[in-house]
Amino acid sequence: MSAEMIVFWILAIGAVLGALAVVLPPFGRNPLHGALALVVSFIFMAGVYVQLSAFFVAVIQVLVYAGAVMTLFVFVIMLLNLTPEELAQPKYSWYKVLSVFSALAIGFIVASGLTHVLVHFHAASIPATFGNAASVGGVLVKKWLFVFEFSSILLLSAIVGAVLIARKRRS
Amino acid sequence: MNDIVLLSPIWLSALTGLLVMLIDVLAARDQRPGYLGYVTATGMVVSGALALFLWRHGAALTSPFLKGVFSFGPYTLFFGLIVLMMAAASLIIAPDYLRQQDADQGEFYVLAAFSASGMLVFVAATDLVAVFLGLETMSLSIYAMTASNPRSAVGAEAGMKYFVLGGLASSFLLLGTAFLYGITGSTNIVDIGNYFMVNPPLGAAILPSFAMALVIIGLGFKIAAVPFHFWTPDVYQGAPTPVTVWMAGAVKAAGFAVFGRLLLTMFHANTFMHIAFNYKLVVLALALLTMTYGNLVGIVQTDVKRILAYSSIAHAGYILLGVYAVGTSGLLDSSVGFYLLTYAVATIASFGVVTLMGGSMNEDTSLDRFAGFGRRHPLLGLLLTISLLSLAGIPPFAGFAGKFYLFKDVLQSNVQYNLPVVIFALVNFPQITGLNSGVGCIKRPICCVIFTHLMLDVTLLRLRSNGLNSLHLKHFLQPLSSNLSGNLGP
Repeated sequence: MSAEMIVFWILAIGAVLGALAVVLPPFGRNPLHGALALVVSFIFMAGVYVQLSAFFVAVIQVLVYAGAVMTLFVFVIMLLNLTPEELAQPKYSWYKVLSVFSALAIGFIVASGLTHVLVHFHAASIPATFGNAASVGGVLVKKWLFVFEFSSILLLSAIVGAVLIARKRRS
Repeated sequence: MNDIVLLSPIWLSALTGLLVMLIDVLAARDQRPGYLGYVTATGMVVSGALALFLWRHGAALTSPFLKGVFSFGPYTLFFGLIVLMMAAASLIIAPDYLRQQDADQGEFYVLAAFSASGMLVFVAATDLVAVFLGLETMSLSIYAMTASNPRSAVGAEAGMKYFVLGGLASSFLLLGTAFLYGITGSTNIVDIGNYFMVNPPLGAAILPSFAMALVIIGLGFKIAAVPFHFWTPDVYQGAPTPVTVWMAGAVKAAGFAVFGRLLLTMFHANTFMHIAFNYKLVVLALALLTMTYGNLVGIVQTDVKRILAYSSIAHAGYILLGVYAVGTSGLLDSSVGFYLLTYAVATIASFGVVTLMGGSMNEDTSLDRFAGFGRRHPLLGLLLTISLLSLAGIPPFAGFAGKFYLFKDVLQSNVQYNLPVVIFALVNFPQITGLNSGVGCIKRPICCVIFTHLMLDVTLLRLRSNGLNSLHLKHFLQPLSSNLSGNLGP
């Protein structure tokens, strides 16, 4: 097993364990602990992106997801300010059993499909500039310029929508 | 320069949103913002005029910049025009309704314009990344518009429901996109189709089938196909009625345009023939389920908005049947486009009357309120009756022609089980339910429905033996079809 593989397995297992800790006890019982476990998972995922030569995505993962998005999560948890009574013991219903089974089934389908693809997979040689900020920026403002600009309309409509719902009525 | 001209319907509708936002800020504070609805509607109409201009003169315009990301062929422009027309109609009925509900806010119209531009991106996109961006811009605005009435608890609930379920459906589409990229190395739908043409999926082909299922689920949600319809009745009922028109009309038309384009381009039936999971069979199952469910459950409803919601579910089933029957020639050359057009017009009219009825602080759209409606408002009653009869497919109204050509296309196509499917669709009495709300307009509509359906059945079956070519949609739509030769475009 090469050093690359060892690093991959460390990162992959860390990411999966972090994701499990978000929902499973002991961390998942407390929303804030769950959110912190999610940060751990995000950071391990960033490591996986680095191994895939997607450096820019890795940096964005840490800056935006582990940074900004998680701050929002923590804000929401703080604003909700749930008491331990409100965080009652979870009930086990057949819905939850069913959802675990369907999650396992989908995971099985994806995994078997991916292993099938991997058999035919040949690693392509990639240019040295692959995945750095300059090449990502070049793609964004050349082929995807209009789509990139249009995403500002998406963000603007999210802001306007939030204002519309949340603001006080004009008298 | 060509890019700017070709993209003009999209950027003009987005610009309308920005303009309306600016006017709203600069206007006097005590001014009611209803007039902004008309400003936005004007923007939609101008966008539509530009789309019409492109349809006439845009064929020669090419843009290497947009190649592979957007297509502005007749397919895009036809569905774009339907979308803009329905958007403008919803905006015209919105101001009065919102003022009566005391819920008129300028931002509502800003969001409407952004949503329309998102729909145009959605319809024009030939790349899954742009499809997703259009879908999200379209949906995000509608979530907020659904919950825009601050005094309505049902509206807030409907908005939340639509938001959560819509986010889930979008994630399905995104996951499908990721898998397709993983398999084919491209997000362009033509490239993906070509990849599958060269490397047809064989054997179990789990990953391509799974990706296809994810795409169908993601889009099936937007067009409210059973079993992805659970949000529809609650959201249609809870939303302000102009938003319901928006969802039942424009969003559905855009959803079907993209549904047809993605399925027919990426998963050609003949390349996916070797595997058990053929999209044709999935679409057929969805179509039969959707029309039966919509018609059956609609019967027991007592709220007009809910009845129309189930009617729109049932209609989605019929349109899916058309998608099932489409051959290699593409969606535009089939009767689906025409069907959508007749559905769109009748839906706007019927929901428009309901809007006028329900526009008071305590909106009540139960069936009882419509008793004797025809006597109190003869003109509105007549309009409602005509549009409901058209939705039901009663001659001489347009809905009859839509259904007729749709069934004819299914019979004529060489898909499996075409005869049993059409018979099933015919006995699946469409919109008896919708007619219930015509109580007071005409006395006994049911007999009339049964009678016309028998007539329709007999005519269709006779036609099947006598050759169907004598009655082709193209004769009906001659000016339209002369432009439709290259339907999907690059």
